Amino acid sequence: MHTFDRLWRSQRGLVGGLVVALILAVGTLAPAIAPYSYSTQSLLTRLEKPSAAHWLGTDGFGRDILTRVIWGGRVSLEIGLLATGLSVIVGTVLGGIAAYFGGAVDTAIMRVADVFMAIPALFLILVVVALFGAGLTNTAAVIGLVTWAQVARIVRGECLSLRARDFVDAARALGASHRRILGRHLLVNALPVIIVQATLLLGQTILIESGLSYLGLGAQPPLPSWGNMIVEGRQFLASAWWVATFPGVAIFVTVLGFNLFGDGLRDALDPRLRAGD
Amino acid sequence: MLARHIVKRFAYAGLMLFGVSLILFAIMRLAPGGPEAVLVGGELSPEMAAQVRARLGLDRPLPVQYSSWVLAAARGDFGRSFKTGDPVATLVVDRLGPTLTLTGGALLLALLVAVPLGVLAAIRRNTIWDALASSLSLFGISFPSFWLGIMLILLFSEVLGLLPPSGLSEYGRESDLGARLRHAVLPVLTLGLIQMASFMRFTRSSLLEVLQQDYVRTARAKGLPDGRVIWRHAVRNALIPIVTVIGLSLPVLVGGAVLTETVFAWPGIGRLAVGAVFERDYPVIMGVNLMIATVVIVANLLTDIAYCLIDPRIAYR
Amino acid sequence: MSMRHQGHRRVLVSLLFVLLGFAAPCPARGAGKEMVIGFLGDATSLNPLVATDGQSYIAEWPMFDSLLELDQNLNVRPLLAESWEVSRDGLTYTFKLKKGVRWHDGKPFTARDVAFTFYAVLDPKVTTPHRAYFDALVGFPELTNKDNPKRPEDLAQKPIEVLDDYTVRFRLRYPYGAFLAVLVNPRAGIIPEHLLKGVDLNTAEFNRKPVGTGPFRFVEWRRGERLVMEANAQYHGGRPALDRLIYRVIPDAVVLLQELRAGGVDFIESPPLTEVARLKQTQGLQVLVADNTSYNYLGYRQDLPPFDDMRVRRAFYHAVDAGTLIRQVLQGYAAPATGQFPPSSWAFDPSVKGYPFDPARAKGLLAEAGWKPGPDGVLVKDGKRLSFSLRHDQANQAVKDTAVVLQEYLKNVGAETRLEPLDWPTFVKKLFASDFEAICVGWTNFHDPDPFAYTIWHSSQWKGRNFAHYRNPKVDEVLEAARRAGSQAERKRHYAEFSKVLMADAPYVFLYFPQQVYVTRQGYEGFVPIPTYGGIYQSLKSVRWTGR
Repeated sequence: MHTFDRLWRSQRGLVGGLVVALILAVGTLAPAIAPYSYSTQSLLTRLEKPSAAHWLGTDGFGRDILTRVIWGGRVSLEIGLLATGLSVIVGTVLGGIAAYFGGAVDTAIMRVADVFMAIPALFLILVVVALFGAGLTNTAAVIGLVTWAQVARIVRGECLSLRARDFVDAARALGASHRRILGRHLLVNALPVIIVQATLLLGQTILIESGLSYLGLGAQPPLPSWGNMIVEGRQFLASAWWVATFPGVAIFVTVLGFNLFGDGLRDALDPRLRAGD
Repeated sequence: MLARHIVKRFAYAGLMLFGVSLILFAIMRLAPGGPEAVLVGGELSPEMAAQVRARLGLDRPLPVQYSSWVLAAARGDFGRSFKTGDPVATLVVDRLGPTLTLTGGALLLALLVAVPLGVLAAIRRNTIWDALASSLSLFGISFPSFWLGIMLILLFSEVLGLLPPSGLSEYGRESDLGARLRHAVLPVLTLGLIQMASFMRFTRSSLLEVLQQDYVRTARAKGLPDGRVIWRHAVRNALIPIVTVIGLSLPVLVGGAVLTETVFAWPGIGRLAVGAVFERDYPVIMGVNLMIATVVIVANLLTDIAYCLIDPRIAYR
Repeated sequence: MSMRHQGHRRVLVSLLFVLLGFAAPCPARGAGKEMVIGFLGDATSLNPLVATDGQSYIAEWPMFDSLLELDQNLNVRPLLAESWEVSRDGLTYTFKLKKGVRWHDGKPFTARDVAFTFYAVLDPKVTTPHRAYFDALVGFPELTNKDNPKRPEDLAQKPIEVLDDYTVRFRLRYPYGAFLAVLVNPRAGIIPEHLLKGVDLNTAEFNRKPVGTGPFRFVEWRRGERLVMEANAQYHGGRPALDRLIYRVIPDAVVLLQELRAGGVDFIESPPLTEVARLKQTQGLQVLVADNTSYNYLGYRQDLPPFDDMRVRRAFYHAVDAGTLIRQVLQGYAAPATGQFPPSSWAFDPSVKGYPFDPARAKGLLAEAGWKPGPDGVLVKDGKRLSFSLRHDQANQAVKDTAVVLQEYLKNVGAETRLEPLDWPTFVKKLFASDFEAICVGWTNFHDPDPFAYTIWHSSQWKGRNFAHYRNPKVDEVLEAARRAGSQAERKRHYAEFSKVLMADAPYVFLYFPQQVYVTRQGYEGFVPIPTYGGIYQSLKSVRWTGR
């Protein structure tokens, strides 16, 4: 039984990693591997069933769905990586500072995080998009804005437990500067947690982005986005189910991949952390 | 000590509400355009817009608008919707029923299934149960909720014809409990499945963490029977993260689940709030979001108090 | 039993009743004698004077009459006014009203109600979008002055006079040929003086519980849910065939269609156009199509490069294949547009043609204008690329789809278009601030060329609806003459010239006049698709259920 679990756990990370690698490859190579153009429309081939010419069928404008799914992946990855990067950087820095300095600084930063978590995310996003317009960078920025607080919380928690350890006191005794301790010792040791968080966050941001696209924000035409493909497909559910189905499958597989990978990472990194205890 | 801590938290909560309302107001007014764009149809012109804005009180200086709103809100009067003229409170209360049906039903479903399964997975670790629960929960959190909803509609409504695709109930039979239940199945399932998955993961991992901690090992080493150890120590302490999770899902409980509501044309609070943003219906936006923020803050407060009760040490951390 | 226990018991008993009421079944719908209309959005007010949005017009139309109504050729015919006389100079209109008409509360309808209604329209304290339509009335500037409005009694010549109980006279300050056209619903419903005199019309309870003279009377309005009306047995035009009219609010087009199929509604507007072919073939359903007056277009700031060059504008016109676009985006449910007037209007001049789809010619014109192909395929001139933003409403699916298609067409001739969907309030704000380069939008129009021809194209309206900043002195002249002309023939001449000059300037790429598509259950008959906004709702009084 033990072996079963060990096998499952190591497989999980591996499978996740493979999926992630595949998605990244597809996204990067999109211009090369997509069979058609994602924007050229063709009246004559509207809403065609999946066939040899169009593996995933065509949409309401006659565009090839496989191509748009591939390009949609590229768009989702772009937004996801940008948003996650933003979120992780801001969250890590603020969380680390909060944990290290403690006291008033800690309270202040955590209160700000509280406020961000209290304001309904969708509302914030809608308003920011109304203000600055939708589009790749804006969408990424606003998703980062909404998710940094949870990263900050986790990093702070991790750093708090690390701070209490001997090596921090030792470093301080040796006269190391705040920045050095924070950067070199705390954050570096918190890195495994941060990486795991980032991976899981990437899956989460892709879900958020698809939800935004569903509501009409996010990537704008003619750039396809999995979310807005599903919106378009909803009206054809009765007559052309494939338009809404395949983009959703793509989202599911991608997010699953990131989650598997993140879990596998956590299991791989966790025991080592504990071993160093 | 404990009492002072709680009082401090209450005061802080009040301050937070004020701050959040100010930020909401500021952000909302920064967004370009106003309700006149939606209230007036084809005859829209700058004169017409000015007329409408004046009638709605939007030509007063911003600080005046904010303070008059705050003073009224403190009395419980959240004003009237620009669009329908109904009191905001009425609009919210009208939608509270459907919202609670959806989110409450989903929460209940999630808890009833996820907690036992999560506990089972943690206890029977490294068995087939664990693997099953883990995989299912991993799958569950990878679905986009709106797509899951659409797929469920495709399956149960279009293909199988078993359940209605949307709406609260059938027209002309609003009080028919059976119709309402049938209409609620797919939306609650959509939201519930995803919540179930995340609760399961959380329960399992938090219980696992607790089970590995020293005092549990000590208790086991001392020879206490497993069941007692698990129940009295582990589960009670694992309640903390579970309480956290419930606390985190309370805003969704009250704020509705916008995407699910959109897919199923469910008349909930989430759609009310989102629609209000697109229509610049300021009173509704402020009222609904403040209500959600209140719930969040009160939820935090309650969970804080719950922590203190479960584990008094936390108050001093 | 103590007081508190009694209170508790009462609560419990009431609760029991509530629960029982919950479980009790609702009475079944009266089969066929009522019609449930599916509504995409709720009305905001049921008072024709202060209602500002399209949904409200459609909702209050069955309950209110106007002096005149439209027929299928968009000409006026009598309704509350039996007959009328126009003076030779076109400045005086005298109406003889129908006798024996009663309000829904039984009181008699008289000329005083008409005078009251239109003085209220002129009252600057009332927020109404209809004021501008009555600009021609005598004393208009004095009565509508915001800061110091005069009262009708203070005027030497009154614009509206009650001659006797059934005769009312209007005086104009210039011969306004469109005057009869503005007296039709949904913008000119008559409201009762005996209920609203001295009441603040903006906030009156009446707006939620209206009383009119129309074929249907108000029963109940559950906001966001439904509006119920029943037949007015005393209607002066004869009792309508339907017993009840119910508007049901379902703010989702896909759900609306499902409800129609499932039997929850009997009539819907705007089904997804891609489904219409299937709906036509569905047993038990019928599709109705009505022309409309509003048009969609690709517009630009006329005073901004590159659009200030007429060759560029004409080139873009040649670049777009409107016919294919109509088929692609609207499944053919639109009439091609060649200018401000729809084909169903008397002002439409069929000799004015748009620029034919000819990408080669488009490229030629652009080259002539100095645009040369750049390294990435986009045209370049003096170091600037032919690249601009196209703003549009993000919520309107047809407009979004149109914008995407336009982008392709423009790309084919070397122009790069960046689509910028904006939410409606933001979009409207930018429109009126003239903060845009190119736009794709459809706006409401009117069944008479005035006032929109003037407010959109006259150079004095740059701060108003002429946000594209179009200016042509010849057009100004012609529009002013048309406004002052008394006879339709004279106006037609002026508008014909206007259309020619406009097309020569090619300020917009006029795209299409989308049709209004409705789906209803087979068995309902008597709809008359009048080609103006919501025109079909005027015929609800003649709709009947034949049960087949």
